[in-house]
Amino acid sequence: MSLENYKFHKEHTWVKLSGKSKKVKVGITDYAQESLGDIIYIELPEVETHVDADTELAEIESTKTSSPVISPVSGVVVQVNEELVEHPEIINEDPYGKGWIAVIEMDNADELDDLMDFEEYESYLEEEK
Amino acid sequence: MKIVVLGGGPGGYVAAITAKRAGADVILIERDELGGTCLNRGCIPTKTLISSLELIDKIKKSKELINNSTDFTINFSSLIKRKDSVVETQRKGLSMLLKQSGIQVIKDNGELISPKTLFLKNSSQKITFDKIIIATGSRPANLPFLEFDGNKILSSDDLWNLKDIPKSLLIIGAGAIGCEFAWIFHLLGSKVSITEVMPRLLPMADEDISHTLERLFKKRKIDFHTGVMIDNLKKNNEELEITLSSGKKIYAEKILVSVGRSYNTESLKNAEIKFGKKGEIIVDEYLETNLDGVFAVGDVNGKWLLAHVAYKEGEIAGKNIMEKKEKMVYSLVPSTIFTISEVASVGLKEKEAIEMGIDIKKGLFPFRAISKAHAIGEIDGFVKVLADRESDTVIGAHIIGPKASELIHELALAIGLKAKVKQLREVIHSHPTLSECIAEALADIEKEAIHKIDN
Repeated sequence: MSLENYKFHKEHTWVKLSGKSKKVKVGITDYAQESLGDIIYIELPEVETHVDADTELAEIESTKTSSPVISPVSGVVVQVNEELVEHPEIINEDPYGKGWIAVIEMDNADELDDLMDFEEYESYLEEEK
Repeated sequence: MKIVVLGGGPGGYVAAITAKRAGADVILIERDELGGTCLNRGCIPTKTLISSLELIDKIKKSKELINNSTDFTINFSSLIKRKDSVVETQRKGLSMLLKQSGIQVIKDNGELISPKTLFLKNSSQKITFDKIIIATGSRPANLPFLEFDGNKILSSDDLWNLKDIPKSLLIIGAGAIGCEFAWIFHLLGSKVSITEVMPRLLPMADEDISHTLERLFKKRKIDFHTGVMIDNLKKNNEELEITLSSGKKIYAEKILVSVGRSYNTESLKNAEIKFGKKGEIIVDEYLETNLDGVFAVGDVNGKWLLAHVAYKEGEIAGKNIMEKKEKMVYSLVPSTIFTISEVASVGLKEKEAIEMGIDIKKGLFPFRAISKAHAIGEIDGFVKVLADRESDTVIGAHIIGPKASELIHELALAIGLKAKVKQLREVIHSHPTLSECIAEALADIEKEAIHKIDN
């Protein structure tokens, strides 16, 4: 899978860009789903709520832990992935694709400059270990 | 010395037995059944129902483990029968206990006309004594614009008269009683909604507890609305239409109002007893009222409306009435709630401790990282322990999760004995048990929990 259009946050979340649109999909990284283990519940944000970058967007429960999902950007939640309500395990199966969590309409696209590309994220993971 | 105890609930009967053992002649007067709200309409009937319903729920969720499992439905009248039988057994036991203790029980409605005289209304006779312990209890409080009618707008007492399970129920007030009945009626199959004027479910609990509880309600799809008031009620034939201050409309067959308790003091108005702002009897730390030789225990003194506090007060007043002066101390009262998960607390809440200026350190450990929780299939919730950084002693504990009501007492003991976190951590906790969650929460105070994953 090509992750060229993805930008990464140090709290192991991603943003997927589509052209110049201010609406971006967000989700958690493969590393995040792997460390969480089997995901059994996600508390999704409410549509139309505003979220700041670096704050809690959602909360995920796995069989071994629970963890906040940190928003990589600031903006308004315009859509959430309702599929995850009944099937949160999709995040484990396809974290960069069908396991997306929400679509956020960004306040300020400049925030994307603070995020890492995939290569940078990979070396960041190496350092973390 | 001749003593009368007015009211045969937890506060009254313990006071009666204690006074009798201390050498008094004791008469206990109860207008209804022995055991009070706790045994007849509160603690015991609700826990009996919850126990039956959670068992059924577990079986429903374990269908893949059973061959030839068929669909089954709840037998409501049998559930109520089992509840009645449990209550009846306890009542008989209590009646026997009082008899064997040599306490005379009179079933009558006593009205206090002087500090040494009661008028018994049913038998129209006066009874005199040296001292009295009042334990008349409390009852569900009315909302002025939603008065109980026993049919559509119900109190927690009225619920016991239901012949059928309501299709939908709106519960007003998400304190302990509201949250327990929300769970009971959800398990019975009603469509439950619950509203709370404060910003969270169980507003009196530690905030982390409310947060987890709200998540559990969402998971089981129990509808809740916090930070809202009731704006309007419309009766459309059989259905009630309730408008919340948020503008949201809720439709329900019946409403349960569980917004607090009123004190049973009508029969005490002619005796010059001093009452507080909420109508409770004012007592000193020895549980004596403004009148010499008149004591008050249990809900009616408005301190803590908990059966186990009433027990303790009964014991203290039962002794104090015989001149042995013992003070009632409330610094260590555990409280337990049995809702979608058990909730238990003792000591200070995090926010309280911070507001008091205590430099706290805290440990929090989730049940989902405990093997036993997985074995029993109940992994939601956590143990949270608060300690004073300076003295290293535990000052508060909050548990939501399986068997929280039993687990809390290890931490209550720790607070009571002023044990240091360091000492507590020397205690090995048996494996596999839920108690390991306490050991890990204590370890987490120093960031040393073994099974904690930091994400």
